[in-house]
Amino acid sequence: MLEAFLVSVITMATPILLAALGELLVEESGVVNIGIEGAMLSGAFAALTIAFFSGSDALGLTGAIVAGVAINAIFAVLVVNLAVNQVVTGTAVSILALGLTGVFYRKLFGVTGKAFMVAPMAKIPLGPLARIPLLGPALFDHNALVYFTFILVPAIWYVITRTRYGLRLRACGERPEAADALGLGVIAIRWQALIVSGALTGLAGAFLTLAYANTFVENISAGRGFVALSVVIVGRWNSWGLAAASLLFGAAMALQFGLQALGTVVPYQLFLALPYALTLVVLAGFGGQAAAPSALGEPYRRQ
Amino acid sequence: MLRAIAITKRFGRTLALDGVDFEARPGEIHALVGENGAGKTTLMNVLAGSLAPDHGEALLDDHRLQAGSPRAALKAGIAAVHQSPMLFERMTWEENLALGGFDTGGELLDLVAVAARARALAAKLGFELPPAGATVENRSVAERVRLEVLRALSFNPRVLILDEPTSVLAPSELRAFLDLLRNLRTEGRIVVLITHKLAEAIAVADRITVLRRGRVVARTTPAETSEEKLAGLMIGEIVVQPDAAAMQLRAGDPVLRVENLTLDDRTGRRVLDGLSFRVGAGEIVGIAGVDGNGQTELVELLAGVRSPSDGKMTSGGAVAVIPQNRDLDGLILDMRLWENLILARPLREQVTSHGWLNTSRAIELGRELIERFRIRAPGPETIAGALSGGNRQRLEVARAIASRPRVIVAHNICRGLDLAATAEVHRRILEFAASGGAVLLISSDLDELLAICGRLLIISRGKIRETSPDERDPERLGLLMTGARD
Repeated sequence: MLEAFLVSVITMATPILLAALGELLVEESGVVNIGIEGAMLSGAFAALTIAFFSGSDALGLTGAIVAGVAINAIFAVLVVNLAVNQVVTGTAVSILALGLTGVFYRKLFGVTGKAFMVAPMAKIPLGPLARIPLLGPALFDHNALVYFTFILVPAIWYVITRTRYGLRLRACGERPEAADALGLGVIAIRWQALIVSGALTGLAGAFLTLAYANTFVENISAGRGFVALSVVIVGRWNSWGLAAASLLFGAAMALQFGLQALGTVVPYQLFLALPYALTLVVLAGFGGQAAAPSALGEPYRRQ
Repeated sequence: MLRAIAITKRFGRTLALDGVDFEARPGEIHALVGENGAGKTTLMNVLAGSLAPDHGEALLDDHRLQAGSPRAALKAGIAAVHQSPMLFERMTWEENLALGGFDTGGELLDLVAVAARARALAAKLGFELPPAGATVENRSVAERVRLEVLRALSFNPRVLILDEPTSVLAPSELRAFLDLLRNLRTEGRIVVLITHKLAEAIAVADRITVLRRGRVVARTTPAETSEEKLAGLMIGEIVVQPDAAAMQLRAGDPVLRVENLTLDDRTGRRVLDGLSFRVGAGEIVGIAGVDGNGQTELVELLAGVRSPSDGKMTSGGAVAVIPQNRDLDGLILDMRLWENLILARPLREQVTSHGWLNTSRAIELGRELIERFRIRAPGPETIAGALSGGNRQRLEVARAIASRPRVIVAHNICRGLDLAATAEVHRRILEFAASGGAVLLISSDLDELLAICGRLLIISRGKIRETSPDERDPERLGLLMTGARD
């Protein structure tokens, strides 16, 4: 019971954390991408479709990366090159992806209501670690995407705080005009962050279809992109904080499923609302903005 | 040799640079002087690659510089120090410098090595550096300028362009700074000093280029010219400085009383420590000090946007505040002139009745004030952001005076303004005092304070001290300001 709950927490947390880590890179460069939901949906759709027809998870994951990057590239052209309002563009991209995936899904699979299933991604037990009672199956018996996501936490923390590249990235988010005067190439750096984020968000979407639902339904991401945005705020722009927030939100989701199954008197919707409520508390109570990059969300355009 | 050939740059309908030719040779300090809006900063930005010109090209030793690429300019050896330091506020000073040429090259960030290199260079220049790991946001303006100069020098540039670097330095720092420029010259570098302080240009430069309204109007040397001649060239007319002595200001009854004013910041640090002073009707009292000694907080208290920890302030009437940062705290640049004017409650009351705004009356009021205060603008419907710095300041002064306050508190009111605009602003302030108003002028510019103030106070580390008439000379005051003697 507890073991199943822990497995469920990790499963719920993984796609959120993966997308949030990508968004962290983007926000450090000074851009806020509300279109994560769109990139995630596109990744989810591309992964399922390609995996279904080719029978290969690897091809499915590659397709998810391409789809996520493509969606973010549309966003990047508008926001980075043309300095269009980021919130408006992000919202439009989300709605665009929701519509496109819905239309393509019906076109490809018809509206029979019959689910097109794929086999779940293979689990890779980590040798003796996976045999530790309780913790073993909960933590060390997952598919490759889960391990990848949690290895990214220290990796991204290291890149942002300890490398030259991370410093330049933060410089673009702090004061783009000053970064530009130092020859850092704000446009290029923001594009790079958005490309990497597109790949990660696409993979997060692939996790939903290939590892979790094993099929695609319209709007399968169900607001997880927005939860990922919240995770960045609650985690205070620090990848360890992001991991903690994702696990917390993952636990709330897992608990909600558990309660739904048990049919308790506590309305499960309460737990669904937890991520958003917590985000508001963090923003209101702990000066969430104080940790945000200074130029976050401001379009940068040279005179 | 650094050369700019026939540079033209247009912003919208304004011609910022109109076929400018400029050259500076190795081993010289070349002063670029001109009024606000003459195109000095635009020319710097073109040379430093931050702006691509519409026409013309820049060359360093006959190699053409790639237009609009700061990276190419830095690589070629051109570094710029901007008027408002281009630093990353929430990063540590070491990180700021790591983004410059102290970069150790590896992909890993080695802030210890960066700090060591910075300290070595700073020691050579006689600069003091902040404590290890301090973020930039709490450092004073002068410290920021030093950091930016250090970062520019970290590139080991062949050409160093400095945009008004001295307006924020204390007199003692200024001397060291000018010595630094002379050292750079002896090393065979090209130093381009953008300034509108003519005495400084004459004291330190080898050659001087004068810009007026986007054109070069003179190329000269300090030996061939004088401050008066330069001023004439810059403006194209003679500026009459207002004569404070002729106004015969006489202090009347105290209008602004400040008693034991104390302020602790959120961390419990004492920012203002028991200030007491009075300003009488018809009096201009100056507070001199190096930036970051509590002036901004004092202005915020007097403006009522902050509450003191202890002590009290009373005034015998309305107080109008002209804050230091006119673009952030003073004006709303996206709004029209008349809208900015009626942000002041007394002016708004003149043009509203029962909560309804009479737009045509407000515009008419705007037209009147534009005329009366000689604000150079097409009309009251102009957006405030379209005005030059000097005219924005005139607009603020107009709003303050037209509100008919008893007291005006003004902070660094002429920073960045040229001669003509400064003279105009000073004249208005003097007129206000002559008509019985009380003025508290807070400034780090001693020349300004000595020119128009009656009594002078010194603020240093949050404490205030009255000066005696025999201390009224720039050298003595400069020492007092830096806290060298208490």
